[in-house]
Amino acid sequence: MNSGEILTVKNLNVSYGEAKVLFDINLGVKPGQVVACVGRNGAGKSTLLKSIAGFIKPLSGSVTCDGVGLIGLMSYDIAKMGIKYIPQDKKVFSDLTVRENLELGSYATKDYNWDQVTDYFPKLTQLMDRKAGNLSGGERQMLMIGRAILGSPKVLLIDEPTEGLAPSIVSHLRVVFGELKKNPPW
Amino acid sequence: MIVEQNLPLICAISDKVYAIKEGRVITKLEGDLVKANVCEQYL
Repeated sequence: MNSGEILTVKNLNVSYGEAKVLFDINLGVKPGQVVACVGRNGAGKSTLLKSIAGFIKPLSGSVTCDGVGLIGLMSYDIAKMGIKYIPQDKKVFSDLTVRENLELGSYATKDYNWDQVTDYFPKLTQLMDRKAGNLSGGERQMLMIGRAILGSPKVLLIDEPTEGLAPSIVSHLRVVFGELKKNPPW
Repeated sequence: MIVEQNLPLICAISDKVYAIKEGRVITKLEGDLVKANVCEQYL
């Protein structure tokens, strides 16, 4: 671990086939910190998150969480370590209800206490029996974030959470992220 | 860790911002530099 960081990325290089997309990325996240990546579309931001989460195998470099190397681990093993990736595409299990989607999160994490989820997103309480495929984009995002905070994750990797969402939902997410920072689920 | 284009949101919650351009970290902003008008130049 480097300087008390929970997540450290060192000299990370990533390519898609012949096309190199990340060049010697170095960054660190300390416990409780919110670290943002900004840049134009195609800059490599999402690729960086996917590489940390184990969905892309880097060419070289290292990613460590709590001093444990993540390169070469499967994405589900990285998730089991408490590093939760919330993708941009807002994919949920469409044929399952909100309750069943959350139950999957609980099954994976052995955390069956949904109080924090419903405290942050009270609307999910009314939607428990609705198929996730019938949710709005904002409701899906609430479900994805809610599922991700089950099991006291160490690190949340959140990719463009407000993209395409109504301003009222964006404002709500801003409050939730502020609360998660003040009262982290870990 | 968050990837986001909404600068007011980022600046409201972030301790540190990395600007990425063409696959490279071009700057790191911390403290008082985490402001929308500063971050904007990297979008």
